Amino acid sequence: MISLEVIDEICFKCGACASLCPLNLIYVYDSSVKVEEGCTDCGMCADVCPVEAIDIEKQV
Amino acid sequence: MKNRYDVVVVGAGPAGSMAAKSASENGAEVLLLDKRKELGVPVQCGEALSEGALIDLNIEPDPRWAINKIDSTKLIAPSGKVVEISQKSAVKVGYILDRKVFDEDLAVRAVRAGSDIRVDTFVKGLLLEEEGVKGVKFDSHGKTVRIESDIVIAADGVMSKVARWAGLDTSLGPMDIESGTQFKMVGIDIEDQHSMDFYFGSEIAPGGYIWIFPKAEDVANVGVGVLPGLAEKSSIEYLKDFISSRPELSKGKVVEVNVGGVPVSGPIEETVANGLMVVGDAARMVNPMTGGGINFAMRSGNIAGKVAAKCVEEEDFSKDRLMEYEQGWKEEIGGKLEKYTKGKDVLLDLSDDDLDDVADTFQDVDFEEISLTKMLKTLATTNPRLTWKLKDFI
Repeated sequence: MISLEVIDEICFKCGACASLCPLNLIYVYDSSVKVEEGCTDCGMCADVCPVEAIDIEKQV
Repeated sequence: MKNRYDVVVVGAGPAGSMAAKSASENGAEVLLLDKRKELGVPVQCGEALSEGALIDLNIEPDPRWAINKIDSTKLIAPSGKVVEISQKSAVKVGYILDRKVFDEDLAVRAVRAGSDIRVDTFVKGLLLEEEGVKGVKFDSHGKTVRIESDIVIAADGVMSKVARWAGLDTSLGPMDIESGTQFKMVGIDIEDQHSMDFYFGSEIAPGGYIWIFPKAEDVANVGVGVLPGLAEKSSIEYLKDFISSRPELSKGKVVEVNVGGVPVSGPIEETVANGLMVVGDAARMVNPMTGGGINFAMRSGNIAGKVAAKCVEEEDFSKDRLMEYEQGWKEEIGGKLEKYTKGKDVLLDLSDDDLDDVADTFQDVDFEEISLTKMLKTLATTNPRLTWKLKDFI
């Protein structure tokens, strides 16, 4: 299973990750970020995040 | 709020508010929606705008938001050599804006033109029918609200969902978006309060640059954009490292942190679908060389609003009819977007040594006004080694 964690205290809700998500799974609200099911762990969201607020961990 | 409008505009940034304003002015019934509780907040922008867009769109610069006049641009090469482009003698100048006030003012103009508006409203989907986009839906107090419309204008910014829902391709790759961080800093030393400074170099900002845009005597937006495909750390780290290496900046205090993504891919291939037009950042209408987007956002919004009103009058919302918008923006800004997209590729191809050579070449050249083509032509004639790299651009 893949878990993509947005670290809420660091995240600015800027939406850079959402614009890059190839599957359009990331929804950025005013005070939260939601990731819908289907993430393939491509990592593009984490790369573009200006503040390193996205953690991608593979769980077995 | 009614449950039916001629036009729904999603996003009340400069593109969306201009679209709502011009559609209203031309007779359409418009609803402008924004997910934010307070327009213009958070700021995701260096806040620089050239005067041209304001003049062309008949918007008088208001001292409440046009807070500092810019008449000079300094480009600083990796070696530290400075190329100054002074516009002191030119007719056109630029402004550093207060986007919080600016965005709200543009939305107010849309409302005064007759638009209805609703903030704190996150559009979560489109009403799609056989003939195309026929409205939007959003949640309100746990209920799904459906608003019908003949046209939806997608002005939902860099993270645009609306265009994708309608089947348009707005996808970006790691070389298509700058990852940006900006600090609003107070108590820094600014040599020239009316100059925008740009610092280049692969060490300080791979695939992008660092900017210092003064807002007042000792206040400036200090920011960085980097390409994730080239960067080795996050953009906020690049910015912190740059600031700590500069005594005139490190003495200051950070009073605001802004982050965001800036699309530098050039505009999307298709900006219209049945019942839908895409404007501004959502359509990737950003100068890929500078990352500047307000100008193109306002212009594209204005054109889309006008076309929307015409289509409402004619009751034709087909893609073919809406193509007038695509032709319109291509005519007004398409050439520039194309040129600067090529320019970005040229810039990315230049090494730090190349950039230093460029700066050396321009040391003794007197530029009265920014003309990129003129600059590059000068470079090509004085520095043949770089000519081939620039041939696509010139």
